[in-house]
Amino acid sequence: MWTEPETPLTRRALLSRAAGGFGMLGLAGMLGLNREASAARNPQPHFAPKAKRVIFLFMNGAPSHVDTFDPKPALEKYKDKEPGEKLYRNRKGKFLPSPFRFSRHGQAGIEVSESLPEIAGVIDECCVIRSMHTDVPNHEPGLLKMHTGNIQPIRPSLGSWALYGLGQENENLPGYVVLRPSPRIVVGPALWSNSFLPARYQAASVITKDMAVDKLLANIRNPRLDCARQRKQLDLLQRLNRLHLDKREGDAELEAQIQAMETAYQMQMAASDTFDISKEPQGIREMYGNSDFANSCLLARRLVEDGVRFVSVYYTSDRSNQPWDTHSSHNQNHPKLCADSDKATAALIRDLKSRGLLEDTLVIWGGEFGRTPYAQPNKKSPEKVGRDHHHTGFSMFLAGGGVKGGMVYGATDEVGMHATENRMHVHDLHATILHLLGIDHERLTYRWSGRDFRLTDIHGKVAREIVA
Amino acid sequence: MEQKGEIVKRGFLKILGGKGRREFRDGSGRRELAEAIVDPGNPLTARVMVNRVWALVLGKPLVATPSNFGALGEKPTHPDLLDDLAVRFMENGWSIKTLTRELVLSAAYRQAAENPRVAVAADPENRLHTRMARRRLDIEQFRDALLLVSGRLAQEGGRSLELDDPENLRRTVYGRISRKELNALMMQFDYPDANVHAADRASTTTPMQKLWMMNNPFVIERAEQLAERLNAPGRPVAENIRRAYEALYGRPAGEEEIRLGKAFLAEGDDGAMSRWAQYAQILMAANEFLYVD
Repeated sequence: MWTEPETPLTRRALLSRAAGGFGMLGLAGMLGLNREASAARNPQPHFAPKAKRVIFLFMNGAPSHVDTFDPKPALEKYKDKEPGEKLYRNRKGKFLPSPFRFSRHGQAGIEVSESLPEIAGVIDECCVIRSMHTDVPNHEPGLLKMHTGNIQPIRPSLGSWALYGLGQENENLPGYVVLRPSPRIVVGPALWSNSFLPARYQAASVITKDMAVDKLLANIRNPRLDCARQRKQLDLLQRLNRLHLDKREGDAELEAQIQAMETAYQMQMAASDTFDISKEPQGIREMYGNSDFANSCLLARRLVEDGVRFVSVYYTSDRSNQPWDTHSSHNQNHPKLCADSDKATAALIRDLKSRGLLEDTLVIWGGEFGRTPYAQPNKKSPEKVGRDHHHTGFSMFLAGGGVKGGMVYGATDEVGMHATENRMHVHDLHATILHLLGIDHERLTYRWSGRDFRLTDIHGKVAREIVA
Repeated sequence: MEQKGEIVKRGFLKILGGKGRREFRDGSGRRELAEAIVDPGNPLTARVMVNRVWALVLGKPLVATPSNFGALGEKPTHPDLLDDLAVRFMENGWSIKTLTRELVLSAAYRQAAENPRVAVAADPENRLHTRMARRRLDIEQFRDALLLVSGRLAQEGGRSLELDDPENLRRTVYGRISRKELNALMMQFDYPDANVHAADRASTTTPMQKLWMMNNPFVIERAEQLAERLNAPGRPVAENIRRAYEALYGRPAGEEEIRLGKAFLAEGDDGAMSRWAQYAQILMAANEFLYVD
């Protein structure tokens, strides 16, 4: 295009040759209408935050509450009966007592199932919520509700809202990171979408099957140049950028591009270090355990330690995109899942605590809903009985981040069917999480399509009783 | 449905059609709907279209909410201009080509981004169009530009291809967009969630974008190909640099720029990437390549 033309130029050729065709490209579309300077936007919280970071440990498929945190001895009494009421899903079985023994733990004496012995050991750090409820007992809407506050897939996620409200803490790292061992996950990236929030609040999605740093992070290393050579290259680049900037009255946007390039160079070292769990001592590695979920929990700790605001860890695998969905062989599968999750979750809480990070890091553990206190019968092999989806009462727990430890909040009825005391809807959980982050959920709004949107829409009540 | 209401007759939207709402009687009603949408008595359609083309050409719309001209939308900054353009757009048979031609021939469009005659302070938001908005290339334009200057842009259409496929050298607009999982590169450069209506695109500047520029094999390959085209053996280095500036930036290289380039290139090859390829990558990663002003 810069060789001398051998034939007379046509109009089309002239246009595409001039300035390498940029005139035309420039015409083709300039959609960036709301130009924002790129410098870190660090908004002020509405009030003093208790938590500065969040780690959401998500048990995909929905764990059973009556086998973990919500003991229901009465199920034994009703085990020959079916629920008498009309149910959302018209599939009934007889009430199914938990085969797992519950005992009291910690100074608070909170009852926890024997399937979670390690979490039981840190229960004094935890606030167990036994009165969760959500709208629909199906995975897709349930997952979307828990992640975005809406059962349809067009809203920003909790993590994006949190980042929008808090701003980035460390410019060398993404502010919101999603960890999962396999790309397979029900619903998919809509769970961590920034949707209509600006792209700055999007999540960096990381597949953790291979924990080698250059497998975790795309483009983190130059395949040809070492850092010293790359530095020389960037030095010239920045000289040229400065000459360009000087002629343009120090345009802030161009300045931001120069800054971003410097940050990117630094990030190669900083992020490589942060994402490298092989730097952890053997004792710590063993404390977490050796599984995909354990590795992600350990990485999550390294990320929040270095200033990532929001980390989601998904419990999935290559074999199952929702392992906790135990419709059959529940009593056999549940303890295996618990063993893996229990060890790593408790290790994370202990590890954060010993580093002084737990006090301002909020850890959340739970799924999209709970499982039925009655059986999902298996006609072919009755011993493979399962539990179905259940949304009107289930358990989650919060730890650290300004939450009262050693506390049980709310309750379900005698058999664990419905949340009855201090009912906590997903909107209430979201409102409470934002509150802990120093954000008033009613004032965190974004104007889109002609109106202001909120994570909690027109709902949500902060559970002040659980705030320390 | 247990309680049925009155049957609603087919017709144009009452909120737009007003009292004299037209009923649709012919066939499926689609033709009548189409006619109602482009009826000269309903200038909304033309206003919306003109506003979008204006935004694409001049950098920002006349109505700041391109998808909301209702009570909750913004008022136009230049209402008479919007109506004037909309009426003539209809008169010219809804020709986008004619409209675009008129806009690019206008004095407003043909300004530079720096206007020495009007101080920035006199019109800080450029509401009066006293200068051209400095425009950053979108990822589609940017990736295409990298392919173009490296001489590899495949000018062909066809079935959409994965943007991560190194063999895919077509224009970016032909890349596959998955609503389920958006391509990582597109996401990094502000492509909106494909499930959501997006009236405009955010424009962020992030280190992750720069890491792609610095380290991605696609960029490195383009740099090597560009270097091959620039570095004609037997031609003086300064001449090669001059040609590079003309090709990439459409202007002659400055003395200082030539001096810096020569000094960098004089150091000779020292690694797995030739000096010229490194230099080509610099020119492609520079702000001047990313912005048009």
